[in-house]
Amino acid sequence: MNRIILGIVLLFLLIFPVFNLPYLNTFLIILFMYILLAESYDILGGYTGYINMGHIAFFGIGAYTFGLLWNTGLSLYLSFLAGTLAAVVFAILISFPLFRLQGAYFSLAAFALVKLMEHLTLNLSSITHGSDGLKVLEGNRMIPMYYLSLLLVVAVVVVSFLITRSRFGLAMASVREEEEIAFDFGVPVQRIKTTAMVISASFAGLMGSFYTWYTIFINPSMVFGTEMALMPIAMAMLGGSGVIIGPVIGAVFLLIVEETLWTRFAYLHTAAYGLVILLVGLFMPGGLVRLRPVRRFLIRVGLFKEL
Amino acid sequence: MLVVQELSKTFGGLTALSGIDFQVEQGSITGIIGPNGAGKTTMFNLISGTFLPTSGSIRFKGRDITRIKSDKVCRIGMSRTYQNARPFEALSVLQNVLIGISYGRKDRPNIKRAESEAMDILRFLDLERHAPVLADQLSPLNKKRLELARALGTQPELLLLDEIAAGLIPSETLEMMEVIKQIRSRGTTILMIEHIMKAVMDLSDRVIVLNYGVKIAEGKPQEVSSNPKVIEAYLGEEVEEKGEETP
Repeated sequence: MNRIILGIVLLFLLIFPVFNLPYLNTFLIILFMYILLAESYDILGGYTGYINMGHIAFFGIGAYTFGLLWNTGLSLYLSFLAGTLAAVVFAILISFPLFRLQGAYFSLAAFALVKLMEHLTLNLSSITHGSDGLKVLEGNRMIPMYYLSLLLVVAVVVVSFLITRSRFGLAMASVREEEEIAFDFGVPVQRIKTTAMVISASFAGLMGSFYTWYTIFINPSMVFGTEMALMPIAMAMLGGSGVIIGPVIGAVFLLIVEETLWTRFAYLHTAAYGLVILLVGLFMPGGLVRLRPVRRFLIRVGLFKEL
Repeated sequence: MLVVQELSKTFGGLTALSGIDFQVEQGSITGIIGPNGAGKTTMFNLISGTFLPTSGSIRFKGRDITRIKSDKVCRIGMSRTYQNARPFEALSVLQNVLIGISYGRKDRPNIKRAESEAMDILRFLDLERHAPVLADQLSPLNKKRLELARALGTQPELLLLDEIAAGLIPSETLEMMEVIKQIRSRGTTILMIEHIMKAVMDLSDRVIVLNYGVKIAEGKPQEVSSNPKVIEAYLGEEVEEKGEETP
């Protein structure tokens, strides 16, 4: 059952550009990007329980690294690779100090890193052009971007699925449940957390690179803004953290709401993510997918995979 | 098998344990008793590598493990249960045991073999039908059994049981004692903290008594229970209370 549903959805998305609907195409690209960010955030947040409010830093670092290197004449593929690697290296570096913290302290310290990156990119204007932003070569990249982002979404979902079935995933969940006890039973806690963060960061970094390539122009607030930082968390929490399909549902739901509200109330969506995190945390801590009827339905069709 | 020498631990100005010496023979059951706050759980935390001792040494299987942390100690062959059962609550019973098997040993069995081993352990502890159930759904008795199962998954040569019978009703305690005997007869050495006297006295080959962080007595259960120091510190009150209760 789940294979049939996933097959149909995937087939539909694969042939969608044939219909030549530019608005919806753009909408889907943005949606894929959001799904990817929420889902990759959840590899760390949902399975090891570390709410990484700094996830978007990986995205932004990927975006800037790609843009800067591509502008120097480096080949496109190497620039994508460099954007991804930069995020990975950053993840490894910050994992040592950050993972000495737990709970809200971890989240806030991670969030501070995003603001730090925002200020750095704003003020190191000789490299990043500060608030003027960074431009890259123009070009119509609608179709390749569509398929690349779709590919990445499929990849992150597949990776999440493989994690839930592996020994590594089991160790991640044990860290989430009782970190000290996991350690007593031989789980290499630090290594598990760092690995989870690296996987999470690599997707965000690659997506960041694509984003620059696609939008042609980025500035600090586009990639390191508070709204961007809160978005993946709001989506994952709303959909249901720790369930593979949770962040996907959260992203679809929130983006559709945002698109419809945006046309009516110009600035409401800027407050939306904080509000969603607050309300979901208070009234629906399990997210949409753990609401009883939704959960029952998802289990019936075989799409409720959690760890 | 386990040799503890001059073991001390202070937390700031508070001395939790001072100058503890004792040995655990291979294949034996050793009981640790003592009033609340005597330092029993602290001692477990030192032996298992959760805390580092302030001074003294711990040798296990002839190897100095004084400064070795709990993840390695577990792989060397020592595992434990916790005073308040602390399973991984959102994971299934089977997954809980799998973690012990997959990470707590030197050999790293593949998932299939690990699963069949986990099922064997669950069958032994009568938890088989709960295998897919989430750990937080279990009854107190089954949570204790799960703690035991998770520890057994690491194939320990020395098993530390921290009040495994606490909070159980008498019939469950008897059942648990039977299980502990069986584990020992399979060749696992056991060191147990216990408050329920019947359990300690019936099971233990030797008993160590702690009070205010100091070892005040050690010996066979009968010797210890007739030791005046022990009676003064601990058992005396119990005997008097019991005397009043039975007319």
